[in-house]
Amino acid sequence: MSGARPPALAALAAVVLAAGLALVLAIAAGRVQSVRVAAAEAEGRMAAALWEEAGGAQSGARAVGGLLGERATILGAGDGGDRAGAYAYEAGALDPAAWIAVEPHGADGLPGTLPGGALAIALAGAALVAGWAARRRRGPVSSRYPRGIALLSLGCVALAAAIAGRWADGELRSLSAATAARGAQAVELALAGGADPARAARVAHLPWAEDGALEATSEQWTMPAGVAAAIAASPDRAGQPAGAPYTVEADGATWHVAHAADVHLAFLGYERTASPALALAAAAALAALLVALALHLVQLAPRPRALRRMLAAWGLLAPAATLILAFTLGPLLFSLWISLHEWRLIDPAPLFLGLDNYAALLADGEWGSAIGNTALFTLHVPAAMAVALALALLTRGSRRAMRWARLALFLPGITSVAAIAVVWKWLLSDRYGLLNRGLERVGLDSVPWLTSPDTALVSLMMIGIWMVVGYQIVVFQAGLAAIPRDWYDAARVDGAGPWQRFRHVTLPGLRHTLFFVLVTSVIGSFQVFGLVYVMTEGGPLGATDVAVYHIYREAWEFLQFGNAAAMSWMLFAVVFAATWLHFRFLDTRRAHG
Amino acid sequence: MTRHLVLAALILPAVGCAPGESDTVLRVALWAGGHELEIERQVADRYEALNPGVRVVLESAPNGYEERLLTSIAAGRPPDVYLMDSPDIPTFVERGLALDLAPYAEALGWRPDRVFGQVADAFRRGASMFALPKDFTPMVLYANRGVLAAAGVEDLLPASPSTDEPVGGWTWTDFRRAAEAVVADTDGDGREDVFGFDFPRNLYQWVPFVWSAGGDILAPGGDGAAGYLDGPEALEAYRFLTALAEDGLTPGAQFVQQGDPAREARFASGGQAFLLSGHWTLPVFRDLVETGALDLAIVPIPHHPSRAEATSVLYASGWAVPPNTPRLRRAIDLAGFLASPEAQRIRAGSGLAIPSRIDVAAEIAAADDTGVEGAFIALVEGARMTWGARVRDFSRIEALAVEIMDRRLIRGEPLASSASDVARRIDAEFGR
Amino acid sequence: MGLVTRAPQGVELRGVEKRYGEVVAVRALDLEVRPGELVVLVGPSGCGKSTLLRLIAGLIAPTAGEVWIGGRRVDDVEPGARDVSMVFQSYALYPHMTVAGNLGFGLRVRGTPRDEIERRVAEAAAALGLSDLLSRRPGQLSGGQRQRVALGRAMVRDPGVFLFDEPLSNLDAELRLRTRDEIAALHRRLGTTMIFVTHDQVEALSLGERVAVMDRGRLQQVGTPDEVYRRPRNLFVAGFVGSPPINCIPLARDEGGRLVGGPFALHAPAGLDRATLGVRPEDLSLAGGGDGGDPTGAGDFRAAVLRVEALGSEQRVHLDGPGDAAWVARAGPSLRVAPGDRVRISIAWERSHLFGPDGRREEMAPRPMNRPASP
Repeated sequence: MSGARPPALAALAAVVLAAGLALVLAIAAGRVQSVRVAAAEAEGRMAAALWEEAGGAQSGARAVGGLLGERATILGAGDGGDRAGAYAYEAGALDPAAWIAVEPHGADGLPGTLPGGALAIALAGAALVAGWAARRRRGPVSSRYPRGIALLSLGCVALAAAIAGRWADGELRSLSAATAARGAQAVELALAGGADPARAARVAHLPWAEDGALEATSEQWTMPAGVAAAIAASPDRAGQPAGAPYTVEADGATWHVAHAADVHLAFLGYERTASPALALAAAAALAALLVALALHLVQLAPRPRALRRMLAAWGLLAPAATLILAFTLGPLLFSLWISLHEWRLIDPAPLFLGLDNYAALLADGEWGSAIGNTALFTLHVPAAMAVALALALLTRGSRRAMRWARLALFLPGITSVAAIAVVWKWLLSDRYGLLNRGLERVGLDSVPWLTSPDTALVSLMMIGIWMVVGYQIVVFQAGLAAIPRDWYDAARVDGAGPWQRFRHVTLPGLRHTLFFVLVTSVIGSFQVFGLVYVMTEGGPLGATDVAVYHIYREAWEFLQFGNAAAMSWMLFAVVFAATWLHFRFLDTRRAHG
Repeated sequence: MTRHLVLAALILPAVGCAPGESDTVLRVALWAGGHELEIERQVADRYEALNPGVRVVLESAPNGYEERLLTSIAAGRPPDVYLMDSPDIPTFVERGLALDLAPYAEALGWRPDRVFGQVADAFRRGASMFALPKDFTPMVLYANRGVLAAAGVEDLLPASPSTDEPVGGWTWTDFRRAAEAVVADTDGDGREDVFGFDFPRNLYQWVPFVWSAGGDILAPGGDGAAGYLDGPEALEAYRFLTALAEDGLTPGAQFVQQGDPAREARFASGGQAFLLSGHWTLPVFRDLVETGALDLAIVPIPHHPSRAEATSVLYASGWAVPPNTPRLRRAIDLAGFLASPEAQRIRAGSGLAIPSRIDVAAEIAAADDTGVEGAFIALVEGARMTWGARVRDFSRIEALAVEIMDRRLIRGEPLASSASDVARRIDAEFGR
Repeated sequence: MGLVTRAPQGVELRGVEKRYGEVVAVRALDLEVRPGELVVLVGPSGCGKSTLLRLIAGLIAPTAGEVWIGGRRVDDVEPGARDVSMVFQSYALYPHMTVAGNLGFGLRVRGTPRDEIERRVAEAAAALGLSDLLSRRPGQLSGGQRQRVALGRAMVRDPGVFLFDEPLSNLDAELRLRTRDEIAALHRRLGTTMIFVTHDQVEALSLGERVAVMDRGRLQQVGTPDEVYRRPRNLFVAGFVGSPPINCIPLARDEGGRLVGGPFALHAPAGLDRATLGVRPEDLSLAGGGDGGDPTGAGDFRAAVLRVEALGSEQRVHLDGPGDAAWVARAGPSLRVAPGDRVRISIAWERSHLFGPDGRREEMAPRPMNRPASP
């Protein structure tokens, strides 16, 4: 029974590898095909716009035929179905007049256009693993060379992905160039049909600018300024015949440009907006992972019980692991990727900057001061711990008064930060705040709690202490309860007074608790946001501009998502380093073994 | 088997109740809340009644509107129609997120000449129209006549503005005299409890003061700050405003965007003579004005003594359609309705802003016997659209600009130095 | 050895009582421990022996009565000032200190000079064979080593009185025996007063010069191990001390004025209507063979053998009798009996006890009458 399994599992590994290769090829081919449909839809929109500009069914049909030839079919308004294309309207009307269906490029020969190299590698790889599975008879190959075979499979998948990616990129590029050219052609047809020159460019549905406006410094509105500048500077601009596409580099991407009369049309290449590179990399990584998993299972095959346990374990883990992958790891990797780009959330494609965001942040004084403010704010943690420890010792015991005291102290910890912040904002208000009125009542000067850069952060730190103390007390009391009574008795018999007992018994007995509270509180403190968001908005004069609030503004107020993601990762690095230092120097667990 | 039948019996009526397949659902993104949202729902209901088979879903986010809108666009599921705020215009238009609606104006019955000129211009680029204006407001001064009368300076106030005779001659000097006169300690506890004004900390509040001194914050092309934001006229405006705070005519400044959360209550209860705001504050005071508890006057922003007139600032919003909505013409039709006189008349019930249609605004003003609405409309004429409607990333400029006077009030730094420093940093942002 | 020992101190408890609300842990208790004496407090769990030790140490305050140590009344003296040291059942070693740190802790908190601490720690460590372990932490020691460190920590301070709170209960059987001997040797060597709490009566008997048996907060008997074993003051002490425990059978006066129960008929001391007969297992002798002939001696009886435990040096014979009772007899290794045999058993009456209805032992040994109570 168990003897039959290894070959079966080896075959499984081969199937997994073949499936991985197929997945990679399918992603590349599928993406290209979907872009072909999108390009056809874009052409359909151009044709529909041309129809509108041409004015009327007869001339409209002629113009569309001129633009798309045989690939266009004009149907009744209701017959569009889900084919690539667009509704055509009479000029300015809201009721459709016709449906223009457009045959996508290359729809006839999809399998034939698949790169032969990738296919060959896929087949060879699958054959290799299958062959190895068949050779199982001659000895336990699986246990002798699992790493080698895993590496071979990985290489196989990676190579296939690279070739497929390259092929897809080429296809996308030619589709982009064709789209730009088609746009120019549409403009020409519109002009030839007597369209208003000021409106003719709109039939292309592409960013456009007139020749004279390219060098203007002010915003173009119809074309990103950087692209206009790049076209103006391009040597190809003068020499190109109308409708012949060429490329310019702008905003870190390739734009396909064509012109008709004095209108320049720029199209952000599909290779940026629809590149399958990420999907291919992910698929390749997944395939490699699955092959490795299959090989691992093959190794376990001679021990069916271990195999069963492993399968059961993975089966039980799968739901949680999927969630973590989708909602924790996925966003994490995405933010890492975003941090290498400039991205304003609504940009069609992020602009790759490499490590520029990080480099710029190292020199960014405001970000530096945000980190500094955060570090300063974190100093409230030791203060809070001292207060919490004192209160934990004071409110020990089960007397009713102590129980109420503990409850009162714990309440801030379970109250919403926003509510706390709003209440404290009023309490600390310069003119109307209870605190300042109280101070004045007893003849003291009022304090600009939140309106002076000297006091605002300290005020927030005090509220921070007030908020975390309750939670810390609970943890400390749990820690105190875990200190053996005997240690205190022994110390008393040995003649230790209250302070010595605290110093030699309580503190050492709490050391794991203290460490836990310190590390978690410091991490929490680095993430402070709500208080600042509600109470001070980072002010006055940036005195309370802490890291997370700074990141929030960078992302949602200024729409610099790449920058904000880079900040998040730098903050992560800082928190990680701080925690590592804690473990390195304070974790007493290691010392005691 | 019976179980399946029971299940089917349970499901079938439920399916029967669901909207029919032919229903077109149109999603509208906006930031209305509370009563305002109810009124927008009435507008949507009216559209549904006029267009059987269409269902309008209002996706309102009074807080974090921009976050939600951007996220839905980035996620590839934009609303069919969305409300575009003036500072979002440049980014959205340049990124191709707003369809040019000009070609459909005629089919929609939308008449640009019936709309306040500056408002329509905010959404217009050349022949293109990227949103159909909803409503707008100028920044004005609310004056509590009771407070001014108690100090005996009521006569300093200009006459209530009307469209027939535009108001001039309401200068910084008059404004300051009036504000100075009202400051008082009425309960005798040694602390002032009546103030002239509250410090306008944010750029959206103080930019009309710079304009009314004859200056500007940015170069005419909107691509540079040096020489403008720190120009002599701007500096005069900063000096005038910070002096109000430093001389005790305002309660202490609050260094947050929201400003002094007590300002409206203080104004309404006679603790403050002037309040700088837009039309959106009016509903707060409406009941008090009607019962006579508050003697409210709407007056222009004061201008520099060397000039004849003030220039206020306008903020507007309009209905835009993303080009990639699958129900494009339906969405265009809905946007046209949302901007139509009919919708604007229904919307007048909320009283939060001035309708973009001149005729509807005039109807509302005619129906208002307090003269307040008329005053607002009279103040539109001399006002300019916010820079934010033209300049990309204006939020960054606004965030930096608050520093100019903050630094003076907090650290006593000379205004010239903080202004030129901020101008330099804004220019660095332009260069990015 | 180099340890300088001070004169041992006596401990005296006068009418000491400890209540926790309604619960009385120790009631009106008098006890005198002479200087240099090793007294073992023994009793079942919950009897108040540990409470008593803590009262002596000063870790808890008595609700009534007086505690005297070394001729000084110490009721309201802090434990550290009582000139006692204590070894805890858990050893109460501080895991964050080295062995040396643990040993020297008591001296350190008293501000003893550093070199003096080092010297005394080194001496104690040498005496207990801990010299190589001084830089280790308790977590790195075996159970026995930890126990010795706890002992050392008590010794280093050279107190007038040593208190031991079940220090051996966490050790395995072999180590327990060895450590017991070491403590006994230590006591001989140091001559310090020691009060030792245990629930194990064998430990108590083997270790104590005097044994104080407690039950339900009361002192039941104080005496030498021999006294406690041979002349238990009451049924509780008789039952608690000794393994296997004493055999009992209830007796009642019949109309003939005899105390009868099971096969026994005893002369009744005056005024005793009910009583319990107690016979230690070694005081039963079995007549071998299974003939089951008539008992010859007065008070002899017959019973069936239920089970035989052959322990090598001795055998324990479980009997189905007398009467409804199930007694255990201790016999030599040579006796040949098997389950099911009927044997004749005679009792060493002069070493047996008769306990009155209140549990007190009658001074007079029970005396059987010539003929059995019933046919």
